[in-house]
Amino acid sequence: MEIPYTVKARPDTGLWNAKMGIWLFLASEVMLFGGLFSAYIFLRIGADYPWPVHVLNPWYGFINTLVLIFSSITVLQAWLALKMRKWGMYQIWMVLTIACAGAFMCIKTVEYNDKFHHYGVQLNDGSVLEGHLVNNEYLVKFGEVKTVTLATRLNAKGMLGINLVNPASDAGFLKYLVEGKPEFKDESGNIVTLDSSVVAKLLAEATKNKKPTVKLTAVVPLKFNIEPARLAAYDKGKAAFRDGTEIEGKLEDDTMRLLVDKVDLRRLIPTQEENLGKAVADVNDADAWKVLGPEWKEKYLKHYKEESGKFAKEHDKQVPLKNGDFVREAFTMEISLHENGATAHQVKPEINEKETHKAAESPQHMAPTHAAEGGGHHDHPEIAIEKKDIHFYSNFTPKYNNYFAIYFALTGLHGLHVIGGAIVLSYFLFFGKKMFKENPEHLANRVETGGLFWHFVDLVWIFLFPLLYLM
Amino acid sequence: MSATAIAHDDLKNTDHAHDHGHKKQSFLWKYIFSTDHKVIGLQYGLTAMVFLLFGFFLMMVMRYSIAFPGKPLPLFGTLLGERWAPGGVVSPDLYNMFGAMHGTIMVFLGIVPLGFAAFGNYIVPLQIGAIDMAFPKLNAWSYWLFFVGGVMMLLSFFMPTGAAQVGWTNYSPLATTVQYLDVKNIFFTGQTQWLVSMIFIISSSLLGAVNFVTTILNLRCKGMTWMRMPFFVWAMLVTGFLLLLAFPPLEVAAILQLFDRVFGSSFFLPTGLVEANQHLDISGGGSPLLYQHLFWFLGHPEVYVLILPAIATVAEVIPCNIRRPLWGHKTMIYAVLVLGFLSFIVWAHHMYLTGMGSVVSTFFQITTVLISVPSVILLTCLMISLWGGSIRFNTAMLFACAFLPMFGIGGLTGLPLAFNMIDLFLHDTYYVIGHFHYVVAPGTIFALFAGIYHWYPKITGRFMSEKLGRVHFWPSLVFMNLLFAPMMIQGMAGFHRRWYDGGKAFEDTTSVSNWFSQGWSHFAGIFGVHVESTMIGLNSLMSFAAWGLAIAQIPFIINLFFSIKGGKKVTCDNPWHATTMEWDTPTPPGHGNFLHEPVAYRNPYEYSVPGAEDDYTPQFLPDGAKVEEKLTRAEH
Repeated sequence: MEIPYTVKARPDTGLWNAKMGIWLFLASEVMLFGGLFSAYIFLRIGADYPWPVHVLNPWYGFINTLVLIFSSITVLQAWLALKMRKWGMYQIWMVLTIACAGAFMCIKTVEYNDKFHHYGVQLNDGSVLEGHLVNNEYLVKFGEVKTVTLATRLNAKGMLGINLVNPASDAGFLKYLVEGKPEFKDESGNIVTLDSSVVAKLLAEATKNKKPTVKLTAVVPLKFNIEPARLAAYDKGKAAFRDGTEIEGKLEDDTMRLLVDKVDLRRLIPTQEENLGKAVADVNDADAWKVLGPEWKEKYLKHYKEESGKFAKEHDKQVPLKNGDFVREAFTMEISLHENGATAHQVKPEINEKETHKAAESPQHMAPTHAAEGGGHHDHPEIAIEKKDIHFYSNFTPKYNNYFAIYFALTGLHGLHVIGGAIVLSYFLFFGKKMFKENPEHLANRVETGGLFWHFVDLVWIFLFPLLYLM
Repeated sequence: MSATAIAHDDLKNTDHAHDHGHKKQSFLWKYIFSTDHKVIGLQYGLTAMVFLLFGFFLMMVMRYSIAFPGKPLPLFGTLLGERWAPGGVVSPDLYNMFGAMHGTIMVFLGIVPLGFAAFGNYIVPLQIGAIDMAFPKLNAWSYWLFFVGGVMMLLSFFMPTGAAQVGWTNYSPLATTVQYLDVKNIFFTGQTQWLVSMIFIISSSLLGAVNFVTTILNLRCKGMTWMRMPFFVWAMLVTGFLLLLAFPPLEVAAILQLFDRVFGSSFFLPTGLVEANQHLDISGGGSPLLYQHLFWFLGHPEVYVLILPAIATVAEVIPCNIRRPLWGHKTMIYAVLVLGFLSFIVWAHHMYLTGMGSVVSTFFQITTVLISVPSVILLTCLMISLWGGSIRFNTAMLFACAFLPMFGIGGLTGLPLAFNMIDLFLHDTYYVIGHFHYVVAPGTIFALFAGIYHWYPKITGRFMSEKLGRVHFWPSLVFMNLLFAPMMIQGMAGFHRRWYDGGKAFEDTTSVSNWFSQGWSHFAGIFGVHVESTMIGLNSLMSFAAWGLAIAQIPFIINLFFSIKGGKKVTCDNPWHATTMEWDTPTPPGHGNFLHEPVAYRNPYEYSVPGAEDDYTPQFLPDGAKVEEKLTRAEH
């Protein structure tokens, strides 16, 4: 006994089962992406900050659009080849389709990688500096660390006394040790060399004795360089890791070193402001100039004059602050040493080989050393920003703002659909031969189902491209 | 297919499960990883009932905290752990955790899988004369996705932070920032696990919905035209569409909230959010309201996902036990279609307090009042069906009859909530709790009980005990009402839904009383127990009712398991003398369901047809054939 209408269409509905199933599934997918697009509109309309536009390189998106449209044609050809029972042709077209999916994902990876290495720093007054971190790292440096306190988190004994995840300290903090050996004296004076098993043993003992912490004293003072994301909090003399471990020592350095490529002052201007003079006065006192120096302020004012002059010529009737394009052009400025004829002052930060390699992967990120060699215009001044001046900073990941957040949500989910579709189509390609011999129509139906999904994935991208890259 | 079917008719004495030309399956493949819609239906049913029982247990602990705040919980107190229940006393954190999980488990892991997935899976293919669902493997996948999601949800109790704590609606920003600081890994927190498990459960529902709709549209047997489909199938079709189209926005909400928690984005976090006197390290600029829109766009259709399978079940039980056709079968079909459509445009009535503006509120008030029309049509049709019937009061019918007024109370108490100005006062009070529990607990759950008693003989070949059934029904009815009716009284007096101490901390403001609370105080006084005569005294009444309700379920559990071997045997394949297609199958139906090609000859509810010999003319009875022939044919 077999389920009917798996290959032939049911006369009154005109569809075989899988085709009806995929259309229903696509209906729910429409709701899924519809929800995300609605979220985009909601967030953009409700944004209380300048919504980023034209921040992505549209060429990447455009090439990807072409790749996907081409793959929609090839998947159709593959189906057609099956309908004509030509296995060889089917294989060629299907390989092309899957190759397109691969190309799409590669381009996407390059784009993502750019964003992971590009940072934005919002200063306390709202002025924003964008650029790359020197050596691609920002570390909180602690020196003269003498005491380390491990937490047992006794009070975390949960329901039925079971914890699926160990909440207590682990040896993760040792990863950030840069100077000295992890040799410590415990409370009874024994010398222990810490690693993950020793930490676990010490904590198990302390838990048995109902002690909340294990205090260890370093034999020689240690030095730690810590990624800030690993820290729950820190001040001048103490740093607390997220796992509860605390180190006591001296905060030596938490200054951020940034190769600035852009300054953005739009957040300084109140949303309803219409008086241009007042806006310029606000921008004049921006914190950005304290960090960048008066030299850049002068350059910026020159830039502003040019832009406002241009605007006045073209649209003399408009209120300048109500024109988004003008605000974007006039209150932001690309920062580059070369363009401004300041190559003599160029700072050449040290870049180790690994970082250079990383940088080479991302076309937008041209490290200064490269720039000097190639004579490009990507050489940017290095500045130091003190922690107390930073209000918020992040690389261009979902954390940075809701534009990047929805960008990653939409393209990430779309990317998962591309991967899923490619896996299914690969299955039809590599494991389809048997079915082709037994029941070629069934395989053609399957490819049609996969092709419908593939067209949908293409269609979503056709909406995504203008929404994220052009609008 | 018909050729094999004829062959089966000759094999009278074989086990149906094994005679379809394929080799005997091992236990694992037959009962655990089965692709048979009936086994999957039973898997869904049993899993969902375990979840329901667990959700009920959480509620009983909460009710203890409400009735006796600050007193150690007997028996279970020490098991809850020093962190959550110091000295066995339920802490506010634990109360919140249980509250959130009670809602989540009951809605997403209990009722939807039981009503839609379990009953739908077992009954729908039988009623449309299909041999299985359209995509059997996908069906197994949806069960296992649901199972994994459910188990993950339960395991989140054992995370160092405990399970999710911010209510089943999981509103941001609280849901984003809670359990955020002071944890080693944000991923291993109950709140994050809630989102991950929801993504599993939603995916399961989506696959299930695709399967149901395809099955109903494409696998109907010969003669099963649209209007010959029983109301049950129609309701499941609409429910399938609701799940298909309403769940993705919730998936979006869950994904975006997951981004907020794990990647630190600010989709639902406004600018300048401060927690524990500290500016959070977020970019801000998001919208908490966006979360509510996405959530309730699912949330309201979800209400109908909970109730439609219940109405559908009752619409099968009632005509069978009154020996009359369902009154207004077509009207009910149109009503349920309208209901399905309208349920997509009423969601913001859950959000009157968010300050959406009067225009939006007015729109949603109008649609909300409109949606009561099809609901009332459905209920009225079921009521009118009873008129002039010769009612057979078996346990299934008792539950179905009790469903009508209970669902009626639940629905009618919702009407005031549809109006903005009344909702401003009643929002988040116990009145709302009373309202939707009347719909879901004595409403949906009673209907599902009716369904279990009704279809049990088909599934196992034995009846459930009628005596135990009555011991189950009457106390359940009484305790349900004692549990939920006082909620409305308390709610109108202003009791907030999330007080872990039942309002003790607000004794000055909760010291109102009325005849009901005074009556309970006097009643308790007869037994020498002192109960406050104010509204707060009702807490103990409701809590005792809850525990009584728990005891009342014991006969059901005994009945359910002992009747498999010990119940009275059915003597034919159609013991209730019903008319729909599922009674045309052998008992229990084997793999492939029907012994011959199923054909639907007439409308589904042909009871007491004038001039007919018997008081029922089944859908599967060929013209001119006698019911007796049909009955004895498949008897073994």
